[in-house]
Amino acid sequence: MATLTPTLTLASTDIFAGQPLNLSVTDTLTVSAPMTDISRMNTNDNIGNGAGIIIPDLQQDTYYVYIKHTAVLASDGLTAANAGDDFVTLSNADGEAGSELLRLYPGEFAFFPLAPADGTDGGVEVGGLKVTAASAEVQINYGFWKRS
Amino acid sequence: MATLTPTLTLASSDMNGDVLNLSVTDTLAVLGQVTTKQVVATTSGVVFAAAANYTKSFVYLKNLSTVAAEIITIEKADSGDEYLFLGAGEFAFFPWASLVDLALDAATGSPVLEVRIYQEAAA
Repeated sequence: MATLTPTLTLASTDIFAGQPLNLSVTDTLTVSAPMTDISRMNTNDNIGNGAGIIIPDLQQDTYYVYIKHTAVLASDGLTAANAGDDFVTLSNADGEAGSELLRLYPGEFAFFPLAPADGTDGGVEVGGLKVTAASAEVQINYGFWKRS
Repeated sequence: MATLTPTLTLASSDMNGDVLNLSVTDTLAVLGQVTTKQVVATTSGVVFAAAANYTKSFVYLKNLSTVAAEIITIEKADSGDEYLFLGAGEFAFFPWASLVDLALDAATGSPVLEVRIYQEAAA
């Protein structure tokens, strides 16, 4: 087992009149394998679960997930992604319609505990995690850690 | 133009042979509504952010409970697709395309969910 310490700050000086925003939250999470360190992939890469699938279907554990759209195309790892068209959709591992969890536009990131699968395909659980490019394939950074 | 600056750090010294010390930040435009509220979860799913009431937004959620069993599930609707599984004290931050409603459901008890929604566009 290991300890993962996530800290998030949200700051703004102009979001409210006369009231700055300066929120900071942290947590101490106990995690165990399977897990990753920070990794990088193209949205159509197969890291062992199928193209674009980060966490396979039917996983009955909770995973803490970090994912960031790096804002570059997968074709060369250098060319800037289109800010409006080249977003990434996160869905269940089957990529089923209606399972869309969120969208990441270039430069955006997310951190969340993914709901576990209930062990059946087609249940109410999301069931794993898959990234799908809306247009051109892009690169993402990601990490996941199993809640222990 | 109002901006929101989120910064996430992930740290661990005992995970691998290498030390994890990630820090990412972004500068986000927030021209629209900002919602800051606390919602009491029950074992019946309740929508706390209706997709029809927002356009693309950035969402922060935290389960304020300190009771381990009081897990809050974030789902599409009552008994709908389940997305997030927030244990006591856990938080999440993500861009929400506002294509589906966000509802909450408690495994047990009445844990409180802190909700902050920052809408990108003015309308």
